[in-house]
Amino acid sequence: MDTRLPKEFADLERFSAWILPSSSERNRKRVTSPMPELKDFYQAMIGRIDRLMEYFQQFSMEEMPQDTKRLMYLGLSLVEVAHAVERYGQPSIVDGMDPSRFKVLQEPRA
Amino acid sequence: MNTDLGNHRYCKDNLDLGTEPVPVEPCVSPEFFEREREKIFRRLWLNVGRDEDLPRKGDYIVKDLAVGNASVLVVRGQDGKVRAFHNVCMHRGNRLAWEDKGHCNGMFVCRFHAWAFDQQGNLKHVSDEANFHDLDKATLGLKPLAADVWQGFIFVNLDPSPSETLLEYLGGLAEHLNGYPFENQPRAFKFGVDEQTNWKVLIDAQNEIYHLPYLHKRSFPVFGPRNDHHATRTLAFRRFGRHGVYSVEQEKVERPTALEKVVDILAPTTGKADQMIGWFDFYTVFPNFVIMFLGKSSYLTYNVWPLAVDRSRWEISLYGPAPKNPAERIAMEYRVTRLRDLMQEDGGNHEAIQASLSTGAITHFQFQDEEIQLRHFHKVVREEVLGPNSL
Repeated sequence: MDTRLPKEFADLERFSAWILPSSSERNRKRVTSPMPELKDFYQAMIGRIDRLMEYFQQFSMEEMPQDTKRLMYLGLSLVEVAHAVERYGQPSIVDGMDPSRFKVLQEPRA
Repeated sequence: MNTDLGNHRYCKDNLDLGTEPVPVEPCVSPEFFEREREKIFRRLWLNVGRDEDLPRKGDYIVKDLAVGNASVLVVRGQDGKVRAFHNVCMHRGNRLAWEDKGHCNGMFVCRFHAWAFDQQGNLKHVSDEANFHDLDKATLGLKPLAADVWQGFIFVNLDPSPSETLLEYLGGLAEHLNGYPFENQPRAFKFGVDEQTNWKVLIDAQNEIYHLPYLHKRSFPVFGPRNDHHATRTLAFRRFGRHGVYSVEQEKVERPTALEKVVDILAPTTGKADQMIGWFDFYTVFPNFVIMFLGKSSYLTYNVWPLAVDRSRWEISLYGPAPKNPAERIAMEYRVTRLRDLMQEDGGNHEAIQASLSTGAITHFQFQDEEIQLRHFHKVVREEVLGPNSL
């Protein structure tokens, strides 16, 4: 699989395992990854969040290069991981139901 | 409008709802469930989708409504009108459409013997027709069901002759929400989860914010105004016949998380549409449909489908303006997944509550004034099932 990212963000290619197009894949990876891994990814991404968002705003959803799309998937994974790091202090929600029972029946086209 | 942080604000204006504990039995009794089936789900208007589920002429959806003991075929005909039929072939009763959704190019053709019905339900073709006996095709159209659309929401009614039109049924609620720009906010996400819980237990768990500071202290540490005792207070509770709404004012998030700060600049959650009472308005559209508005340009719906007295399917849809760029897409994902996490926190309780109720350890629910919505909902259920003079 091609995991190249736009040149400016090439250092984030080490997180290519987080380039996941569906929200259930992203959620599964979040809840099955150890906390240090989540924190590592979170720190690398959140440290550059302003620049990332500025970069993303140059592209329309319809016309974005493949490397930008992969970077967007990293951004979408950051969302999952941020809930774990910023809110729960653990990969999963606390005292909740098994997230795999929550079926995604519709999501925006990847 | 400012939130009154006092106590006992709603009971005084809703004397008919009483203040006494409310019986558990309707949530655990198989007999009561059978009566709900007849008196509620086979008699009242039920939301089964939105206009956008049938964008083109000939598009259809099939809803298997176990609680109503019916499979319903909803189709947008060539005249643009939405119609509903029992999804049953008139020949020998086979299921007619087999997919959850699809597009019909001309006729619905039964796969058993190829009887063909047009999109208005008329029986148009019978294979080997000459060999039948006095077959009158004109009387053998698909069995129609009442169907109507309000603000893009498609409703059906399993009663062969409904006592009210959809608009009469929705009453003041429809008037109150008229003009809300639903059409500018397409469905972005839909989730579904099957739970071992009664449909009312599931709705109750969502139908108040008393639990926010406790169950959701991590996911939504700030949600709505609170009094000196850290207890939440809603902005308003209103009734529209069987339906109701509670509303919550927005509370400023003083210490947003790093990502929350960024997302909120991209997709501000402040502001409200003209039709909104507060910043978060939660409508229960009796019996099993919820529309909730969250800030200016997003809303959610729940359809809670009873499968048995202790089993339900929770369908959750989230709607909002389509993201224009990847940054807005990420902001949308943030909002959606945060709410999903919150709902999974709720889901962690639904089944435990049901299991506990079924032990008979408690016979009544204790509802406080901030739970008046639940009191109203349970009263409407009991009135529909047992009759208005039974309480």
